[in-house]
Amino acid sequence: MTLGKTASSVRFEGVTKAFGEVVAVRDISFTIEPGTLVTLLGPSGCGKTTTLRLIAGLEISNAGKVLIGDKDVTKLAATDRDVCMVFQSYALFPHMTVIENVAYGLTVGNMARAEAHAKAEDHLELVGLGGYGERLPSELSGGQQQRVAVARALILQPEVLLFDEPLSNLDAKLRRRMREEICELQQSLGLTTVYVTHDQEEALAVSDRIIVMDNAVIAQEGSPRDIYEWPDNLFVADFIGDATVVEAEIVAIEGDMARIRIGDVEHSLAHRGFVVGPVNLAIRPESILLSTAAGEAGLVGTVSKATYLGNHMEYTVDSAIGELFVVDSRISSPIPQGEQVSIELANHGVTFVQD
Amino acid sequence: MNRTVFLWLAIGGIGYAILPWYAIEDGFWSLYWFSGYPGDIDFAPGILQALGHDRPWLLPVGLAMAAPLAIVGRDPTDPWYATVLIAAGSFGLVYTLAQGFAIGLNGWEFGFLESLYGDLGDRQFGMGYGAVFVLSAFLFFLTQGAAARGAIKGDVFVVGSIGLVIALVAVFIFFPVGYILLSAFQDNDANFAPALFFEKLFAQDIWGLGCLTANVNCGVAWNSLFMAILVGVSTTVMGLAFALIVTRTGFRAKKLLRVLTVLPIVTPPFVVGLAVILLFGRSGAVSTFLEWGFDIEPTRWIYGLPGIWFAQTLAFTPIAFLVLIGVVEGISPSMEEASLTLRANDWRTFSAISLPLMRPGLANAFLLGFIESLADFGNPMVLGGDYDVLSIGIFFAIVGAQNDQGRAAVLALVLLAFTLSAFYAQRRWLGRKSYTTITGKGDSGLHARLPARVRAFSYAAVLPWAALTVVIYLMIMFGGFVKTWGLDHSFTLNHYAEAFSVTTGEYGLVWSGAAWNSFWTTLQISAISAPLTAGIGLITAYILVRQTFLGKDAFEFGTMLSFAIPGTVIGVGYILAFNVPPIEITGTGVILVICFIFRNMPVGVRAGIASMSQIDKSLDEASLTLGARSFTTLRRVVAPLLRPAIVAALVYSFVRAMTAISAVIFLVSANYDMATAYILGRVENSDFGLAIAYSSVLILIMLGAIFLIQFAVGKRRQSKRSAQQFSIEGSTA
Repeated sequence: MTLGKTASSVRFEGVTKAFGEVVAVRDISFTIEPGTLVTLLGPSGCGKTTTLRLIAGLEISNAGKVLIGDKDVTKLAATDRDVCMVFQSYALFPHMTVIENVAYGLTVGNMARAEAHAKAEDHLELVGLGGYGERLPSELSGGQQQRVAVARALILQPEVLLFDEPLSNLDAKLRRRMREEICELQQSLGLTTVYVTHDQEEALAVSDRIIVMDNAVIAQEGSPRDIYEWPDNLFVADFIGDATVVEAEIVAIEGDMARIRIGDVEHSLAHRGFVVGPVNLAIRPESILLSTAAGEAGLVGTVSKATYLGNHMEYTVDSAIGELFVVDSRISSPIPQGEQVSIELANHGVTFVQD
Repeated sequence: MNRTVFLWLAIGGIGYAILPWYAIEDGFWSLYWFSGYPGDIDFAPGILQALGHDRPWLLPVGLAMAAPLAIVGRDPTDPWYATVLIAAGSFGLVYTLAQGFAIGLNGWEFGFLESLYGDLGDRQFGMGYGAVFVLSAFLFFLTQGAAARGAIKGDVFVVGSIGLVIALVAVFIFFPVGYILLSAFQDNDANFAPALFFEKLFAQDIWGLGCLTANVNCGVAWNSLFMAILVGVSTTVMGLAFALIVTRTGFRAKKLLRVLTVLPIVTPPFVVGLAVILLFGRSGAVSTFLEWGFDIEPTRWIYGLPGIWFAQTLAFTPIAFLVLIGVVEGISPSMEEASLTLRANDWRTFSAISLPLMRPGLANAFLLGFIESLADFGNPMVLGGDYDVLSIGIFFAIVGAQNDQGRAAVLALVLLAFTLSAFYAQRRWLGRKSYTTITGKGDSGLHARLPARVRAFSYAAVLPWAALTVVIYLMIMFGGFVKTWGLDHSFTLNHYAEAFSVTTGEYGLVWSGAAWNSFWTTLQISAISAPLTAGIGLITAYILVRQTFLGKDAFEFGTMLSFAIPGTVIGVGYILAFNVPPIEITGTGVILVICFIFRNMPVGVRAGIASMSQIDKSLDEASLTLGARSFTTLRRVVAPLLRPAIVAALVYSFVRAMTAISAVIFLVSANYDMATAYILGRVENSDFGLAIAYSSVLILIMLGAIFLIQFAVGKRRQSKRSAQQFSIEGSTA
């Protein structure tokens, strides 16, 4: 099944939205390419949902321009935009059957009932719910309700499809399956999709690009790999995955690499435009390698806490450069609490960040 | 060009060029005006009035009406589109109203206009359908212009609804209340007389405190206030006892208690007073028994404060109960359990935890009882004796021999000041504090056991009340079947025959009973006003819950205000304001319908707000993003989910319209007599038999209606229960 329309881009130019005194979105700009899945990621209250609602037309911006395709839709109401949304609560109409829910957008647009229902049935099959049409939403499981919500949004062949934390009401296993299905559907239909979540793993898994938001502004924008491996700032480093941030100093720049000093130890990594002087270093927990063998004059520490988590161990290590959070996949030889360890840094997962 | 603009252009055009501009004396629907139409000056449409009958001041109305033709073919985003509509609408509204108020039955209404332009030599009557159509068209031109300017995201329907509700509230609540204020400052020849106002306001018979020192009556204001406080306290205590027994004890007959609390709602208020007379009056059942058994001489002690207090406590306790039961049930059991685990005994838990948590409910119950008592007209009328209260004073100032409109207005202002203060105190006090103990998550646990002394007190309060209520209703049911209560208790059907006899005459059935006329009118007026009340209430609730706009707080206050305005005040306001052009509707059925709509609207609004807050907002938004307009969303998503609330509002406004008396008593006329007014008239003539017979028929009809509808709604809820739960879950997720 293909969609008749081509997917559109979404562009924000200096958009600001305030609710009274509270600024929810402050002067943000970004472009979403047609046919891509972009995630708005951030903690609650960062403005990601407001951004999504600005795209939908459920909020009207105070300043700036919103463009869908080449059309300026800044002042256009939700009804008049070619955008559909899957809500966090699914927002299925409880008094209508599943098929009536899916066909709603068509019947509102004055399509004949029989034709609308036939099309709705097609879309139910698309999401794997053929034959469920006569049930009430309350008679479906959470995952099935989710699919109905997706089918209802897809039926109008929107230029842009929006998801507002669609998986937050599902249990962990189902969440993984649904997000794969959403991804497949998005790719096979080539839809421009904007996806809001506060779950960083979900964002990494589904996105072509991620826009990380913090406190009403964009903290970083990039591919999942960019965001995880080269976070621009402390907030992103901390929010996406775990990171221990330590103070370090760049002592010299050698080509692409920077030689740094952390406490008494030296290390080198890509400088990414940072210059000689004190810097913050974000270290992923899996990039800290611990060993009990007494090393040379390297960095040493004491394991203050060791936690067994089934497929990996988590350690808290007190060291000269601060308290380190470490993840170690070698569960067969756990390091007991109180042990002295020597600490090494891996070549990946260690990066400079701005304050 | 927008279709809606065309529609209102057409409606306005019809109003100006086709329909009679002025109100037709015998009613529009009599259609007798066809014979003189369109030439006759009384029946001519606006355009002929202006051109053919020397009423040139109606000409600008037509010009404003035609102005939107200039934007035919323009797009709503065109700046001219909004400008022309706003200009035509606002000018048309202001001008049409201004000419209506300026030129009345005797030509110029205001002296300065007469001195400015000289004697007019012409006059005009109340506005008719033509003027109403034209004014509506202007109103919606204005709202469409505002929407085109971007108000409420350019939503024509919502802006129009807001405009409509504001206009209606302004005309039918603020205008009459304002008119009272105006009348208070006038003498009875409509001259400005502030000195007279102060003289009347501070009169001895309003504020006198003679009863404290000498054996004379206190002022009516003190009487009313004292009575209202007594009733507020007693109904709150009784209501609390009820709520505690229903929620915290294993009392067997809880269901029966619940039914008893519904009864007073379907009972015309003064019927309780009537029953109290039949029990405790001079020839009442109890008095007669006491005389026979104990040689206690029957007296008229029941007439006056004791009787009113007694009857009002009986009548208004259910209101306190309904308020308090929600609060008592709402207290989280874990609070009480926490107290018990901290070694507090059950009395301490009740007095230190449960009771303070009920404080907002208690305050609310007290204030409602206070307001209801102040506003009550029927019971003081029947039982008052020498104990004068404000509502009665107002009534007799208007209909009595003195016919002193100024005094009625002053008394109405005093009464309004009392109720508004109570209303304000209620909102202010309850608005500040949060006593919310329900978290939305299932809160398991058991409520603490009721302390023995509280339980004993509750039973002691409730059981006599329940017994008395049963006795009273039995008496109302059977009182209609005895010849003369207290004197001749032989069985008779005469009262029913007199009220409801049907004979076969020459042309088939003849409704010859004395009650039929008012009975059919009551049914008709109630049936017309109920859906209108529910509709306006629902739309207002939708605007309040789902839309944000500048001045929303004022809007909410305005729509809720009529809740705090006693019926007597509304009644006085209506006859003062709507007895003269431009809105001349006293003596018609329309004024009764309008009165009921705006008296009962706040209840519809509250019911709508309560249930709409339960519906997840994302349902509306989902509908909007799927391309539905706000009207479609309201019709296809919101309204179906609100069905129980709509039905409740329908039933409630129907029942209230059947039982209302305080405002109605001013507004009934020979053609449109209402059941309650008719019955009260019979009571005043001591014709108790027919009054009781009629009342019992009314009560049975309303009970039947309520149970029928409860049954229907209950059924539907069963089948859709899972759906309902789903929508609520959606909102907490």
